[in-house]
Amino acid sequence: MAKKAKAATAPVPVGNKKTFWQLLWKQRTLLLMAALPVIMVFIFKYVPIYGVLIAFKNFKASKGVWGSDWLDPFWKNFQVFFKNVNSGQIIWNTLKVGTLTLLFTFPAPIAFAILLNELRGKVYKRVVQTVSYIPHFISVVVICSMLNGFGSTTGLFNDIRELLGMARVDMNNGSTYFLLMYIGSAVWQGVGWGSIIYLSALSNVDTSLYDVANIDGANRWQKIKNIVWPTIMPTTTVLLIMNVGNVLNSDYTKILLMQNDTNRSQLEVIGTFVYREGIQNGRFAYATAVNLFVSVICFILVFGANTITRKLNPENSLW
Amino acid sequence: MKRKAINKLISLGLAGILAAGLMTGCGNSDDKPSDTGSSQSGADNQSSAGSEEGSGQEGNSGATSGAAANGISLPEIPDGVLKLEVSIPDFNQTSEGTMIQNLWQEKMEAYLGVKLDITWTRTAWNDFRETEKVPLQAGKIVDVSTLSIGPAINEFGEDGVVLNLADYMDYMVYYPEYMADTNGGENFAKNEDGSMYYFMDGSYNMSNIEGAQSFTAFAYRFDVLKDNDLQPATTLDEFTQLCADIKAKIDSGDIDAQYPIMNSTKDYSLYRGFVGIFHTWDVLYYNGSEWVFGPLEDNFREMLKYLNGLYEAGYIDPEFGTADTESANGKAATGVAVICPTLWSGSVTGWNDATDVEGMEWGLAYLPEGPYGTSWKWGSKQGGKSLANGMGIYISAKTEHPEYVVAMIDYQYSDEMVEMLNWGVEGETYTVENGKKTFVDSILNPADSTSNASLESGKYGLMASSVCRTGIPFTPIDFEAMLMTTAGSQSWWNAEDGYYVGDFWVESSRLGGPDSVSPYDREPVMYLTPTEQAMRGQLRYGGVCESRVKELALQFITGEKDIDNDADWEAYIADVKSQTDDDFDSILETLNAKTVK
Repeated sequence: MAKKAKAATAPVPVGNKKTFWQLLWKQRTLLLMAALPVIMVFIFKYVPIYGVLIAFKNFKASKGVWGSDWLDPFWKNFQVFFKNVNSGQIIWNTLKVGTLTLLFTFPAPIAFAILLNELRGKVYKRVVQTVSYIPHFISVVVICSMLNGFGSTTGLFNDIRELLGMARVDMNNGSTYFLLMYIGSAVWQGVGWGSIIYLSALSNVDTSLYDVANIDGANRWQKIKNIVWPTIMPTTTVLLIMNVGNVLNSDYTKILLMQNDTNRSQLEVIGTFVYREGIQNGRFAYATAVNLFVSVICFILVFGANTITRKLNPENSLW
Repeated sequence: MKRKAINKLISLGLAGILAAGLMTGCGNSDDKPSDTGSSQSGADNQSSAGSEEGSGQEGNSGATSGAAANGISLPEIPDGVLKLEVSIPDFNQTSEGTMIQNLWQEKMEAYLGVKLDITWTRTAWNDFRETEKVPLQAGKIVDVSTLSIGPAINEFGEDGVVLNLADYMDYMVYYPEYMADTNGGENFAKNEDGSMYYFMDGSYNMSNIEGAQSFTAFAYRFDVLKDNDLQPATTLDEFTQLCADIKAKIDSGDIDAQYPIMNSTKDYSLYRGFVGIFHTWDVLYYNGSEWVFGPLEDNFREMLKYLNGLYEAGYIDPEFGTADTESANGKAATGVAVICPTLWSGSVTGWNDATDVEGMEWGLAYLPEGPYGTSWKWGSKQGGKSLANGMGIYISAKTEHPEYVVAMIDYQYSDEMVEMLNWGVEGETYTVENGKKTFVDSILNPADSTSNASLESGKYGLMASSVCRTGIPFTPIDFEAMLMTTAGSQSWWNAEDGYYVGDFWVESSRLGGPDSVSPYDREPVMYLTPTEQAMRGQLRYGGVCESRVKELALQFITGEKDIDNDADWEAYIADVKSQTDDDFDSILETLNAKTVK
């Protein structure tokens, strides 16, 4: 009934109804702009999907994807991976690294954006903002080289430890300090860059809300809680859902560069395993199978996160 | 309105540019190699190559013989131009545009009787090795390519991706000489069914020097030893005592260092310098009678016990497993340690050049003798002409003129090409006196004090430089020529001669003697199917077992696990064996069953 009432009150265009094609033509510029990412996603994300087939095939380059024989059983590559004595450790490592990274790198830009938003000096704010972006542009190879040097017994981190009265240790030895260095550097690299989207959301806050809050005598914390946070909440939720989907896709290049003989098994994640098997050992089919497994898990995670969001706050869910 | 229209035009223009960029990004045609930024058409190169047929230098000219004169009957190519795409690695110095590379093309054209139009794709060596299986797996290979995956190429040969060279033996004259002279003979170069999918890396060692370059000598700070009346060790007991003496002097402040022992890079496990001393090896190897996995042998355990003893005594830098090459180079050049047992022998020259420490002199001494007699060295050369199966060249099964390509690669093994690629041009890069070749003075004694013979010869593109590889790598290196550019670059010590200047290839051959040639380096021929080769790969360098051993062995060295505890050792064996997809013991059984003794 309510729907019917709503329909009855909705304005109906009279004598100016445009056809579908007319609408398309009218919005041609926007469509053209949208076409580029759509084409890119189609070419690079959808077309290669057929290659997933090799996960189930005895792939031979000479026969191609279609011509190669099916494996017997066709899930053999998955069997091999799960029979691998290290697969449990690899999956656990991946989950551990991914979850902890998300836990620290996701809220950091939000907190940073809120803090920046509270700054009053415009010049200082811009300088801080610009400086915070710079680490994002440093190559992962350089970052790892820095970490290797800083973590050595004569490195910067140990100088700081010594100042704090702690003993010097080789922080590259074993996996004790790996997560600290891996996540710490990820936060350092991403906090500025990641805050851009939140700062952009914050720029849309109706300034009259602040005036009203001031009249009501709200302090800074109350303004953050009641004005700022609700403003960036939808953006945060969407990004969180998407980030949850990436929890198994840890930065394998960085891990690869941080590996050494003292920590290899603790630092082996699915990404490094797939790289080693697929690119170095040339086992395309096997590596594809392992990566397909990751993709399926990621899909489930995104789906699950969205379902939970939809139940908690339908307006913020992706679909 | 006008402004709006201009904005629209700009938007459309930008969108068009972006779209074009996008399309360019995905417009990689099927068989063309990706542009590495250094690809170059051989045709463009011809003017600099001076490629008029028959213009080769006298004494080096292949034109005097030619493929036809060798009894090779090549089919005619309609336009007389052989178009090829070739993928090769670039080493420290690129061969592109060098005098020798240009001469290579000139001589090759004269030999084959056609013009060569080669599109070269050059990739840095490390990147090349890292990804070389990708085009093979994808079936997108060029006409000719270098390879470093050794017999693993056979899998692609059996799939029909790579040319079976055995079908083109009629177009070879020179390579069969290398096949015949190699340990194992023709069986070594061919598969059980007679197929042959790649040209193997050749060695031209007419002086029969059986030297090696890595894990064949320990490096010592000679200046420190001399100042403290110490000397390098000739036995393991002496080595232990030397470490104790150095440690005592470090503690008392007589020696300005932090530890007696350091490692040269985390990429080499510290124990790799010691396995030959204990007559074992750190991966799969042939022990003279059968294939075994070294890290599970009692000798290996004995070695770990020894290293654990050194570590517990505080002789080893604790960062031996984590310091990368750059960091380790810094340690060596700043005098952090006095001994480096695991290294590529040439490193000492770099450390001496890089140091700011006055009088610092890193030098080499042959491996100390272990409990089983003369220590084994790794990677010792074979005498005469020989082949090694780790590296080589393969040809695509789809290449249009396989006869020409086979004849071309075969010609790289001819004496005249080996001479030209290694020595260059008589009068210009070398001279001959009493039948003995010598590089010209400008190469051996460069005016530029920052340069050396190796770098100078590399500028010409000479193979002997060790920094540049010309032609289509790998072409045979003339050992004598190479020694001349690298000789005298290290300080050496031995008990009889004391301190002197020598070369690691020669000294490791002389000091180690025939007993130091490990059975690993003279392994017998084995016929394996591609599946069996993949099985074997799990026990070789880069395989899953090696990775696991490196991690666990380190725990034994540092005492995290007790090497004296049998339960820990048994658990280690079980852990290593569990890493393979196939049953570990059955892999060894297969290898031994497939060995042609």
